[in-house]
Amino acid sequence: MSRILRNFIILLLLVMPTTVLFFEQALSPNEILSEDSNSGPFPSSKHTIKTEEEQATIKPSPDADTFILFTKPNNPLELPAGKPVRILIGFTNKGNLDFFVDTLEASLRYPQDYSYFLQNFTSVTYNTVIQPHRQATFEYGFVPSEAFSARPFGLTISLSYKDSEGTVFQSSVFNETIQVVEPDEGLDGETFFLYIFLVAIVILLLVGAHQIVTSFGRKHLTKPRQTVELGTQNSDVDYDWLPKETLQGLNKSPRRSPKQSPRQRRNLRSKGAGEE
Amino acid sequence: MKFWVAASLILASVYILPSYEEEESGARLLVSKNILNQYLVEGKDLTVEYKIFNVGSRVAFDVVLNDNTFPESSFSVVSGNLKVTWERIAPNSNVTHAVILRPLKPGYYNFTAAEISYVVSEDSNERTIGYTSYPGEGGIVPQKDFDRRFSPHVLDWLVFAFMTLPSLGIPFLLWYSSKSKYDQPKPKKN
Amino acid sequence: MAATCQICVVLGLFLLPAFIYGDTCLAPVVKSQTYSTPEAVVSTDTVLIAEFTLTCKNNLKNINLYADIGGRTIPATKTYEANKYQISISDEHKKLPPGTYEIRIFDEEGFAALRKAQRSGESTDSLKPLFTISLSHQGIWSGPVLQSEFVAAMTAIIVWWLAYTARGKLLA
Repeated sequence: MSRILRNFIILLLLVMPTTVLFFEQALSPNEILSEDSNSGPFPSSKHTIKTEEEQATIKPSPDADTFILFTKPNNPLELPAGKPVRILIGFTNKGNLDFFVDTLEASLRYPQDYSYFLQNFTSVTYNTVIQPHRQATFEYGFVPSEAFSARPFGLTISLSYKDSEGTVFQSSVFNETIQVVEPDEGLDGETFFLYIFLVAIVILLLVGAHQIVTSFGRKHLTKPRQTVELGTQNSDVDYDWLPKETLQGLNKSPRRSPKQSPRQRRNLRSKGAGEE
Repeated sequence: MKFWVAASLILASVYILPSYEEEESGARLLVSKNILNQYLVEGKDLTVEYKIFNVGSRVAFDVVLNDNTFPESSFSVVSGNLKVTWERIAPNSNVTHAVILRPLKPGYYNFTAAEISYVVSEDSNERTIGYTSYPGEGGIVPQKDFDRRFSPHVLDWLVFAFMTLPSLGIPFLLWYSSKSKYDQPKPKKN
Repeated sequence: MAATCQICVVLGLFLLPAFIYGDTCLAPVVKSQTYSTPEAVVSTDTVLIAEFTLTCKNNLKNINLYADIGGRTIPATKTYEANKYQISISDEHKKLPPGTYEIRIFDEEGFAALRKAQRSGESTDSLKPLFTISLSHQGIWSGPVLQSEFVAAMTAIIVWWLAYTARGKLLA
């Protein structure tokens, strides 16, 4: 009796882990099919996202296996805005029927609400036939808009294909929240001229302030003064350049010439004219 | 005793089952084929670049890249080889291969995928065959059209300068003859 | 018995070098052809290609070779012609400036030594390669220095200016 019990316990201990392992492995193909870069922690949440999207009941085919690789920025979680992003998608046909790969779509969505599109990228049509047990690679590129820098987004990339019987499938190749970061550009034309513009504005303000200050000062000083017309004074005039005859003529009639201003001459002339 | 044998058999079979899953986590090659030209011009070099990425977790052995989409009559090889092989490509690594061709005929050409084949394990006989990505359709511009747009046109400018000589030269000669006639009196005066 | 054993050991010792040298290429003779991107129109990235044919005195065929160019270590691509290899590098124009690139080719042992030196952080310049290929890259020609339209326009402006000043002198 005890011998049977002992054997039974030992057998149980041996068989239970193996069956648990067996079932785990049977379940894991689903995980690998959904193939994302970190498919570790939450497989269940991915399944729910898929069912939400498949309201049109387009599911991935079990005979097709896809894999995505980001070639241009190696890290898909941080994409620089405004720079092209290149990806490679590998497609394996594990089944026995031909597959026709139709189109690839990519879009940026609101991270909390996956049905709201923020940017829809151009979809590419491949129209390629892939025979059974063959693989194919597809390349795709897109540019996240510069307006979207420094924000998290949900990036979805999905591949639509059909088999030779006409059943349409759609496989979500990438469906995760990514961060769009600002590209570090260093010194470029825009920032350079922006700095020059700022310096020019500062100089303009300084010059304007200087003008205002001096003009105020000038106004206060010049108001009380009234221009007094003095005419040409006697003392500063230099007669050296006159030829000798004229000097003698001037010296002969000293009273008339020095004090002769145009106004006095005019008055004299008009007096003379009036007298005549 | 048989009972232990049975138990151990079950154990062994369960642990061998993982080998069916190894296909997924074995070697997997993604190959991109790209044309690096800005303009495809007849008679000018055409650069084709192949990049092979091993995204699997195992080494890919005996990798053969064969591109027979460039017929000899339409493209001549300047540098590089269209059929090459690598003995092994390590996991999480990439290899680049480039070929320089020269298009011999102008017109539209559809650049299609090249073929790649590899084996997943060293002693396996089954080759995994795949296709690279393809650049699509491109137009090869005839050389005359490309030159019309991009060449320096030095000869054309020289011909133009030669043809403007009469309209510039005749007034210049007139002015020069009158200038040389009437310039001479000035030195005589001083 | 002991005597034959000793003979075996001695023979083995003599034959050992043959087994070792069997893997290394003796007196390598290399014929090489190189290519580098001539102008920017032809390629958006600079591409350097070196093709070479290796002949070994001990008639080794299609051995594994590895190349070291400017810090990049890549395996040499084998072609379907016997002993013909190709090395291709492509990168942005900025990262492959014009100049002479020394391509050092290592065999399996040399490559293992190279990797060991790289991992331990030592300088790899002291390692002796199997042979070296020089690749001279002329640089990317991205258009003439002075465009012909610019030269023609400047000539026309100069001619006009000379005529205008002469006219001004005449009128004055």
